[in-house]
Amino acid sequence: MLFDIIRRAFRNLVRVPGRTLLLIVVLGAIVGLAVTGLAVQAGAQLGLADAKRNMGNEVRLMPNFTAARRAVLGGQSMPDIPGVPESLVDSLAASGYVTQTDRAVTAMATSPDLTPVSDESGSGSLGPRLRAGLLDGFQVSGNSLPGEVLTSGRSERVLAKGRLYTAEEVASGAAVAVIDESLAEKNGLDLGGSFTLESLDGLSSETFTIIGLTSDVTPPEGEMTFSSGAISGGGMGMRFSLFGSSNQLLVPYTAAQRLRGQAGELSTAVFYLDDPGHLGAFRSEAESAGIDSEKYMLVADDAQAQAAAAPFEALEGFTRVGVVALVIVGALVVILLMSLVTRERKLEIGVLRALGASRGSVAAQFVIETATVCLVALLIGGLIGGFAAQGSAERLLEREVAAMERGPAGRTAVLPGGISIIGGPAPTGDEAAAPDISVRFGWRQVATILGIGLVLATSGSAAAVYWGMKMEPASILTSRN
Amino acid sequence: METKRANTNEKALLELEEVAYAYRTPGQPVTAIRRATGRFEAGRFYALTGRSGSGKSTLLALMAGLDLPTGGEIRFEGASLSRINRDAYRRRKVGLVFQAFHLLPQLTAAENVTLAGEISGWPRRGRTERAMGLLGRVGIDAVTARRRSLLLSGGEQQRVAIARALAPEPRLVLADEPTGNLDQETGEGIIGLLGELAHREGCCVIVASHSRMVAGRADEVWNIKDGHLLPSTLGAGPPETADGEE
Repeated sequence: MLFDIIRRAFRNLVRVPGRTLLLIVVLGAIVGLAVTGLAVQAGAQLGLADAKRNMGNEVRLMPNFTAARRAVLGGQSMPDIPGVPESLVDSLAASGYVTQTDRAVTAMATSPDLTPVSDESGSGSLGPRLRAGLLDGFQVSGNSLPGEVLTSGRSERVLAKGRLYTAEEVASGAAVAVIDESLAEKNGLDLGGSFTLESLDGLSSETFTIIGLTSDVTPPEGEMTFSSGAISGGGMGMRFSLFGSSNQLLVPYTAAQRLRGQAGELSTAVFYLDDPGHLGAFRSEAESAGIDSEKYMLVADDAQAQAAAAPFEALEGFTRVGVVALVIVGALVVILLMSLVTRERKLEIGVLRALGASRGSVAAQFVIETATVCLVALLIGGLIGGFAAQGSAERLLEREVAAMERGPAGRTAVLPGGISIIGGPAPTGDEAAAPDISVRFGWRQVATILGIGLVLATSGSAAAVYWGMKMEPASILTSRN
Repeated sequence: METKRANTNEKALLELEEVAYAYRTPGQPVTAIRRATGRFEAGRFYALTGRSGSGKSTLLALMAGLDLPTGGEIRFEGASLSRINRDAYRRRKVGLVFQAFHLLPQLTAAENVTLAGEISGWPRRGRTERAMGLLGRVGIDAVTARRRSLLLSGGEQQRVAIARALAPEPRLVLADEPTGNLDQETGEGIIGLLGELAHREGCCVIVASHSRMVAGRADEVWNIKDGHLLPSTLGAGPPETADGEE
């Protein structure tokens, strides 16, 4: 019997192609739009998560230069700027919001074994002066997270040979170093080679073993994109490259501390929060931990993160509302359409009932027909929506970005000279690179699409069954209806 | 033609007892049948006559179990229709023929018959052959049987409708104005066919019609007047017609 009902349903779909096509087109359009919306929403969520992860979750603890500058401007003598106590960093790193902490120490050093690379194109403005004899030295950058050292201010490097230092070497303060391959080449050094570094005051000296060589892959000016990073900071606690990346020596921060002669002190510390939304809570925790705001400052570039995330948030919100509205409108359209189609088929219903078909079998036939149409519409709409999603996402995102740029929010401030105080993507020129979006179809999207298909099929079937059941064959066949 | 009366001693296939039926229209309630009592036997051809709107179609629908009377009782083989599965009753015992044929236009003639067979429980194997056999009985050849029903002439459509009504091997055939949309010659052929069903196949055939021709060919004529079912007396002549129609 079920086989007969299924056969009857399929035969009807095939034999009345106009009606079937109309339903497939309408349902397919609804599904296609929903698929596009879901994919765009997923892409926007991904972009939003990336933006938050990469930009909004860093909080930097650093000496309070603002207070020092205020004092100087107020006619006082330059106050002594202390390093950041590691004990303070330890207490903040214990926060539940902190997922990782990078401890950074920057020291200046000279070397009897190394000759600096003459790098006129170095981004550090002090490079030529240093090489001119004012200070013939190197910037020693120490970090606790080895991976963070490869991206520094305006330079980007990749590990060309060897390895980075390990967490164990950081913990033990091993005298190992990663240097630029051009510096190594100039000085005839290679992996396993060693050189001596002396502190500027000449009080400490240490021999470092080369464990890795890096290559500078910084893109030409104007093409460079910034990534989050926490290298350097220098004695002033800022992130910049004084010496050009070729003359920058990367070592464990513990080794840099020895060279600097300030055990237990850091230049800066960067706390990576689990969510940018916890920024306020973390700041409160830090304040309650008793940070002396005259000496230290916590800086978070949440405005930049918000600016980067805003188009994605807007797009995500727009598509979410759009998909929900589409499903509701789609369900109503399907209900209306199926009601009309079913009412148009009242004679067929009357004949089937007159021949002895039960209400249940007539209802089952209509449900099978509706479900089949929905399934086909789901496949076709899904394919079309899938193909249209990437283009739609890009256009929508462009529109959102354009709207943001026209709006008052604009870009976040960047300090003169393009130096950003903390990590996060800073515009490299007049305009930052446009955000990218990549649409996604994960299991969640597939499940949602199936759910939408189910909602449409259920709505359509319910309408068909309702009207089908409501019709009385006697009324239909005796023309009373 | 002489109208024969039923032998009241024979067991009736279908009995109507004080049947009443009323329904509501948007304007007002309508009483279609007030008090209809009658007996209908197997192997006989009945004509049900009356003015337009007298309730002939409604009474046929009640006999078919498409609806239940609002008063009285209809019994088939002694069982009240209100107490049996009326879907199964129509599936297995009743064949229905309509004035407007009511064939499904998306199906061929053969498929229309097969559809009724499917519903009445024909075995899957041999359905088409069985449908073609029924169509052959009503004079539809194999070529015509494979054409969409919409493309058939009125007479052919009504023959297909009769073949469809025969699919469940019914004991009761109810036909509502089966010749209403047909020319006289074709209509006579259809009535002849229905008469054969009664007299050769042993079906109880009840035909609602205005037509004198139908009344003339019937074994027994019942007239619906003012919601009452009245047997036409022998030699009473042609049944009352609505507006001079045949």
